Amino acid sequence: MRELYHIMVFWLCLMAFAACEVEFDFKELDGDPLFLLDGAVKSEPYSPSTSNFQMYLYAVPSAAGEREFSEEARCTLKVYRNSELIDTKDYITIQSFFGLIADEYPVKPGDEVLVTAESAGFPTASSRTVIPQAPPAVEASFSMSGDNLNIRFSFEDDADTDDAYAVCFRTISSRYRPDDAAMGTTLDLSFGNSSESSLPDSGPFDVTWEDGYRYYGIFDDSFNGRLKEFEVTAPFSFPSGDEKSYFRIELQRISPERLRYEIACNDKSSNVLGFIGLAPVTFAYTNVSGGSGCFSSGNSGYSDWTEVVPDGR
Amino acid sequence: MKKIFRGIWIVVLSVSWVAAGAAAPRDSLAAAGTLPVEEKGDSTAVAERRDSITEARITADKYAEKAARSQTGHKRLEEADFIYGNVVFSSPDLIKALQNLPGVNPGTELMSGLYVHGGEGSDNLFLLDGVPMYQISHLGGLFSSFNTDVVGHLDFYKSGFPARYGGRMSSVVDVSTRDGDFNDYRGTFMIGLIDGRLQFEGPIVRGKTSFNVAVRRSWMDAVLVPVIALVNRRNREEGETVGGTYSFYDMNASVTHKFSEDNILSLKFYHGRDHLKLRLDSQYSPVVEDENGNFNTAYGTDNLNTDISWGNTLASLNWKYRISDNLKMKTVLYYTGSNADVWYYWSTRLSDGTGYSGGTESDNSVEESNYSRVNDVAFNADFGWMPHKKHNVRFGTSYQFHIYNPSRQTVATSGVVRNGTSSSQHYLGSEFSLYAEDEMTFLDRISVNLGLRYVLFGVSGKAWHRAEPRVSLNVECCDGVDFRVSYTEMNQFAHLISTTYLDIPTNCWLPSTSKIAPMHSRQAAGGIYCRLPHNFRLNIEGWYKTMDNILEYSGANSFFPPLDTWETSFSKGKGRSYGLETELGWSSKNLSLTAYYTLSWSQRKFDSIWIDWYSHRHDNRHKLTLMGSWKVSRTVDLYATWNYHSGGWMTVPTHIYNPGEVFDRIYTRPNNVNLPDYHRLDLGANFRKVSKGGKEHIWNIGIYNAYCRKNVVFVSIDEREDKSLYGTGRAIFPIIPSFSYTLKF
Repeated sequence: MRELYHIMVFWLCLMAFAACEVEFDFKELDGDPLFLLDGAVKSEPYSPSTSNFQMYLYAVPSAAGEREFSEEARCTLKVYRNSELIDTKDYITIQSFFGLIADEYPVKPGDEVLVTAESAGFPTASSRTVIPQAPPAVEASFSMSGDNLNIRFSFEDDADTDDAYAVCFRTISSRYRPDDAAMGTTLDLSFGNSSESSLPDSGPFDVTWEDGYRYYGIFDDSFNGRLKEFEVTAPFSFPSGDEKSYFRIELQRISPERLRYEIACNDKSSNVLGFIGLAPVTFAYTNVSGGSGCFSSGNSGYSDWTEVVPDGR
Repeated sequence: MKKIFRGIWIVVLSVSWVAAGAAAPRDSLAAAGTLPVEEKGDSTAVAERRDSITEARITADKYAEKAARSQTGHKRLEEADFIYGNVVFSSPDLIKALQNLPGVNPGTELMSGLYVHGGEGSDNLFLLDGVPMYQISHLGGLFSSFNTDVVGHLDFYKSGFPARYGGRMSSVVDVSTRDGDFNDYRGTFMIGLIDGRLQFEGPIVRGKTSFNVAVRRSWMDAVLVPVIALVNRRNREEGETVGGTYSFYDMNASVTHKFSEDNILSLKFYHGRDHLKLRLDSQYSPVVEDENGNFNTAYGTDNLNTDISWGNTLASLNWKYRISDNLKMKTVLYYTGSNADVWYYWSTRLSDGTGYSGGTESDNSVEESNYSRVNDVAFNADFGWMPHKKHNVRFGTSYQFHIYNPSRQTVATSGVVRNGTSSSQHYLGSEFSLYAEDEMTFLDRISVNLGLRYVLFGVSGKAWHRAEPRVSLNVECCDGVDFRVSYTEMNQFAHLISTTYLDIPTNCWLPSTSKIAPMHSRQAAGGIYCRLPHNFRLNIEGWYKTMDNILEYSGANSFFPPLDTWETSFSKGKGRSYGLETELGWSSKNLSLTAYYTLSWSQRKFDSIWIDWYSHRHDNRHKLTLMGSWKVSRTVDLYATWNYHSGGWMTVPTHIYNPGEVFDRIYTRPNNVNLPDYHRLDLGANFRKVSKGGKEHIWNIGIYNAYCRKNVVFVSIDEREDKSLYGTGRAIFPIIPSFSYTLKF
């Protein structure tokens, strides 16, 4: 459908270029800059006493106001665990900063994490999230079919919580079975589930996004409290030499705001008709008060590394 | 008296139905049995009557009967109103005529948008001989679905809705077609630049049974053939070919039989359809690297085929019967159906000729079909009862059975892997309504219309009950000056689901459900209506309207609304609109001048989008329309219309950032930027000649947007070198001259 959409938009643009243009200024735009936070706290089974904190922090100028920030301008980022201040980072230079902040904090499932970003001239941005409990165990099996890896997996949802899940398919090449803590690389599904796909809305997942690895997200509202089974296909190639291929699935229980945010960002960035006033624009979901973006949390579980056997063996 | 056809004269008198001042002649005429009385909308027209001496047609001053009504916000348009002031492709257009009226925003230029008193555009009840019509335009709105050759008149209500109307939130457009001539054959033939019409009417049994048939067709498909050939010739070397065709047609047909003047049966039919086919093929030859590092020439093809058709079918059986001198009945059994079918197939194939499947060999395709269908079968029974000359009671009931059935299938193929998805909705809705209204007169100068409508709508186990009070008051302050107020509530149980602001066939109608409440409006209106000396008239009217349960799409990137999740993919909000509209007119025998001005506000509040009220995209503060028509001589008439309104609103990002060079946007308040004002001048002229055989020849020349104003249709947002944002508005309708020839025989 995306092709038809783009072709229609192309024709519309073609018609427009053949006609007249009028340039005009936008006089009504707001003047204050704001902070955009895009981060998460993630618990891993291999380091149960701490959680990884990662956040991109952007100082976003107003479309109508000052576009450059002074060299002296600083942002203070504060992190609270259950209302207790556990970290303050006051060295962030606004002028050039739109980078990654990474740290480890002693937070565990059930803890509430609050972050705030403050600076003179900016509204204070704040957001909070509660670390989810460990995800359910995932049952997985797979087999090769030609050049494709057919993957079947299932897990049972917790009926008492409003959950969302993120799935990541990982592979690694090694002579020996890798350690449990080995991360591997992402295995992308064949089509239908990536943002580059010609069919982004198909497949069992609600959204996909890239965060170091490619994640496929799904809300639990269609299978709340029940076993959910998946069957997907991914192109798979074997390494040359005597290395073997191993595969496993990461299942992450995540706070639902991450999925809402990723869906809204996908929609917003591709809403071509919205950009030109012929469709409603997409107002990106945010759980950041006083700013924009998303701060979420996750708790990961992994299936075992299992060797992938070529078709016919 | 006006000679209209071969020296035959027909007499028709228009008198008022409700007001005290006009009740007497109507009563006396009807009671005396001198002339049969036929109900037409709000007024009562005395039906055609031949006498032994002559046949003639006299039309009473329409402004006289208007002043005798108690409704606010009502306007009756007749043939002359369609013809003058609407010169788009020299084709009279009923919707374009309505767009000129105060309190109405036309929306996107040249489309058939009708945003009435801050409405949504999909909340207008269009009735063709009492039958609701879902798709009211052809060619994305360029032409309305109503063929003016058969339209007798229309009643347009923006407020003060009588209780007999219901089902939509913002306005009622009640279009009545003419019965065929019971005594003579006559017709109209028209040929324009991109469409043509043929209408023919006459008796089947003289004086008893008549027919009226009209067909209209565009020939854009014929025009497109040489255009496409030229495009393909130019693009041949680049390996691109285009194919396509577009056409629309519609047909109105009616047969009317008079058992007596008090017992009339008619069968009416309408069918209209648009059809668009598009094919795009391209071939290319990229140089690709294979697994061994060799460079080969690959061969690729892209193909796109689309086939889109949409339209309406309406059929009704009408029976009008006078039960007694003071009780009459009108029943309608009807079917109305609307469908929009979209099919699309896209494929791309790339081969490097080596058979190396892991390299550049690829074969992908997507086939998608989308069907949006709604069908209604319904029965209406309306009664008019005059127990006393100061009471005019109407009551009635209706039952509508709705079938909503949109569906979509997608099959995507990548090599040998096929993925298919399908989604559909199937709702059966029952809408039952009862109404009663009494037009009462007091002291000869005061009339009150008290009405109540009750609606029960049931779908999928959910029943919605709504009571809709309708009250209006008219006080004749002095001769020619009326003061009116009204209060009405309306509910709408059908929602037009759309992901864009465009009138396209992928939009679909779905009903209120347990999760989607009916849209609801409350409106209070009041005004003063003056017929001044020297043929001046002045109407000033104000309104305040609130709307609840409005839907706004909150997803993106598709022409197709999500069917499986539509109840959660739309934000629910409310709206309000208020303003003042004025009409100042003057007319003489040959010259008519009219000015409409509207000062209005239209706002929305969606809690999931923004915390406060914000401007609707068609919140145009000022709207001014100046219209003039001049009958220069018996053979020439000229007309002109100038339209102005303040610019609409658009949502522009308030913050932009570009990590990784990606231009990204943050939106805060919706519709935060005002677009440039809109104005244009339309000019037209009719040249008439009546031949010796009585045939009338009319040559029309029209100029749309005579001074070629660049009115913005859509806007792209661009960044200057200093990083400030600005808009580039695209104007796609420059000056458009047109020509048509009409033969009335």
